[in-house]
Amino acid sequence: MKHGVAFRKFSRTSSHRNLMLRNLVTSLFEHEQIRTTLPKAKDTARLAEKIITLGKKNNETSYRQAQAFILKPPVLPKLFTTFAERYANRPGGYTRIHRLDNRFGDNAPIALLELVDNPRDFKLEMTARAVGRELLNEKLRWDSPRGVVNSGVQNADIVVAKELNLGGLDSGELRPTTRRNLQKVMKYRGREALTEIGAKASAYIETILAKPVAEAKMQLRADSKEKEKARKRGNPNFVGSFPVLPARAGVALPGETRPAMRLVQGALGRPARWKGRHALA
Amino acid sequence: MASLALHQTRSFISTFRSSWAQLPAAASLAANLDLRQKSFSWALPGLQSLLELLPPIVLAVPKSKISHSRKSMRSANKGLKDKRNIVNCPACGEPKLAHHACKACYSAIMKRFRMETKRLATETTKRMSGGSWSEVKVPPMIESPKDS
Repeated sequence: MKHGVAFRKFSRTSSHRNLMLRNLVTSLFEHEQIRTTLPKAKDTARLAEKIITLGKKNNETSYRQAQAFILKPPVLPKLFTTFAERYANRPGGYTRIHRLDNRFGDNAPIALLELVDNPRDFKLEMTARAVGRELLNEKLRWDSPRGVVNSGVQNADIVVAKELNLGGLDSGELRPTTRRNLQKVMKYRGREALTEIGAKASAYIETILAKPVAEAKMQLRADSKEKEKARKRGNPNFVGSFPVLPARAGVALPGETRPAMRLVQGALGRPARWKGRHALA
Repeated sequence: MASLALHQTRSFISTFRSSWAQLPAAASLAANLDLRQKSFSWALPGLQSLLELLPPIVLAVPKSKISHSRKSMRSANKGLKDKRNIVNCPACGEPKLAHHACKACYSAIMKRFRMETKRLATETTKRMSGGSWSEVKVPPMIESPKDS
């Protein structure tokens, strides 16, 4: 029985296990973002947060304790300067775990373990992208895609600033989940993060709008390559269209609001329910 | 069959006893053996005899070949179950597992990070070595559609 036992054994002896965890924590502090198996990530996160607390204490004892734990000496000053000031106002919860796909060889669940508010924060990136897509969706409700391309999506950071103060049930530009994520990401960051998110969201909107054009160009290029190859083989009347990017089931195009399970079960083939909020012409 | 076994062992012991009795040192031992043999009147039964004593209904064996139909009925519940925790990624719209990171977005973001690291590394080497390109500011990269 293992009722209430908080520690994992990882099929290793205690010395091996402790050294493995120390290595993982040191790597996390060095790179601020590591990819490992989910159970290892959970144990590493727990230990790493305790060591960051030592860094926040910033006295002789805590320095010696951290020095005894961290395996790479260059990482130690980072703990007492960068992380101490980054997490000065944050009461705990200095790490974040994202579940990734299972590994190919052994189907092990893999996770991305990262320090919150690091320069390459994955949650910030994903939230910026989601904000961009939702602003585009809102625009596409009232305008055609070509119109949106011509006019563009302006003032993303102003919209984002407004969303910071809204609650869960208030109506705004973003979905409740995205709004909540935005508020979480911005909680202990300064105003420059808003402009950063706005810039990333705008860049991502450009990417989404450019996708069909770029895909068509890639398709033309691939077709011409195949035609050239056929001509060299001695078949001048070759006409073919090879899909470069495979058609993926269940992909929601910008403006799509139907859930994934319904799309996968064939909602694209059935007529969409017209909500009647804009003119058809 | 048990009685036969018993007789066989008894005769074996008697021959053994007679060969032993010829030796003067083993005479007392033989006497002991005699006594011992008289008190324990049954010999150790072999495995074969045990099996023949048990009734055949105890040994489980299929009576006939399982039909195709019955075999399929038993396998009806063994199929792979559908995943119902599929949602659309809020960033790229592709299907993804709930509570997991979107595979396409993750790989695109990581690829961009790696390109930026590489670009910064080459920039710093260029800046350190000097040259006309060291003052030019490179704009932030927008990903190609293949990535996202």
